[in-house]
Amino acid sequence: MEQNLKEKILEIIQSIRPEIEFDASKRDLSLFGVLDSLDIILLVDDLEAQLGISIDPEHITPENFYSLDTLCELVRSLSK
Amino acid sequence: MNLNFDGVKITGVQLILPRREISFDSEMDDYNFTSAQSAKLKAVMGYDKRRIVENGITSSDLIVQGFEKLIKSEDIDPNTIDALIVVTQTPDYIMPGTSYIIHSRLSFGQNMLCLDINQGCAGYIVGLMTAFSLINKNNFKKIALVNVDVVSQLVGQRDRNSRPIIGDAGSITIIESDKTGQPINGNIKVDGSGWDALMVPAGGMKIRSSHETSIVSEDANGNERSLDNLVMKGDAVFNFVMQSVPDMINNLMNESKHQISDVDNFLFHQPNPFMLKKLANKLKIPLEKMPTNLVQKYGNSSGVSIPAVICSEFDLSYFKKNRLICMAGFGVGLTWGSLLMRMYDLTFLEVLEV
Repeated sequence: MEQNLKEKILEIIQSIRPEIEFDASKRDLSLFGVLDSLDIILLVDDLEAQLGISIDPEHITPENFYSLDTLCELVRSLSK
Repeated sequence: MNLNFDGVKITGVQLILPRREISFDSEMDDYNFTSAQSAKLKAVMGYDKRRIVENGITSSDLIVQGFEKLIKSEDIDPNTIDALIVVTQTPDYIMPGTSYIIHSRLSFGQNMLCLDINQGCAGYIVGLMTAFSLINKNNFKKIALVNVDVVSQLVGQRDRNSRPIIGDAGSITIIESDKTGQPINGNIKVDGSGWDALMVPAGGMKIRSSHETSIVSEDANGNERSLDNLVMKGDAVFNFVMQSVPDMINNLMNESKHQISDVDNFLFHQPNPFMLKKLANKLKIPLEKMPTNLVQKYGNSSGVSIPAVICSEFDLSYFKKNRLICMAGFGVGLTWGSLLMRMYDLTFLEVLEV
């Protein structure tokens, strides 16, 4: 389940920035400094549409979007 | 800080738009977007149409045409204006202020104050607060507040973060003394540590414009710009807006003893539909009370975006009735401010294309 979620989120990120080769095997894939604000907005929109969650403004922080792991943690907490 | 005003009202608003319309579709090849990304950006960010000036057209050019129309139609008498406040980030010159250029070109009289304020997306709120303060505490009876920006002239041609969304526009708002006016609540906050989140590095005294400052380079995300161009740290601005605006509006409601449901319309600065819908959702504001689509029609016109909403989304008859309006501006500085006020009995409300 955890791996599926991680792969799904990475798939969404990859669709937003197809020109970047993200390496899912990295334990803590850094998104900070890789995705810009435009990417984050598209990512939030896709995560909401594809995972059926609602991401409030206070959740859209550098801390939550720092890495694939922190983003997974956020999505998991919002899915409960 | 929280502020209170009374004895003032807005009596007219004019939006001045350049006729030149640019579509995102026609510019897509300038950016490193895939077609799928472009389609999504149109839907989520409102990248679509925007109005920009022809090269060489200045802030004062837009505003002089607006004033000439209002004077010709007898909506304003220039001899009755006690102060001209110009809020812009794109002055005609470093000095003097653009208010003096407008004053000269319209042959205004000497018995008045000219005042220039360098503000952007919070510029309508800051300008109104300044005008209200002059009327409240001094002998000013009628003030013309000008908001104008031609930021398109400062944006890098391949800056995918800024260029697709930047629009040019101007507005003229008349504020008058009104002893029967109802109380106005407001608040304003600043975090100067974010001064570089929205800036143009060169052109002032710190870095003079030169051949070197015009050299274009590419950042890590493929945006091309020079030191003469607008730099927007989108992530910093986004975080600031999402964290500060909901608290600001809730504070405004508490201070004024009003509920969100009491307010007829929420007229916020228009950065993009995504951010506005997030804010509306967080504050439980029905979207029918809060326009979010101005960027798609005209682009983000900085401090003009709130008067642009007023003039393009409503007509004069709407404001014949007494409406409780919440305005909010947020951006460069970083600055965020809001006002809760009644709008009624406007004498003019129009869009002028020049």
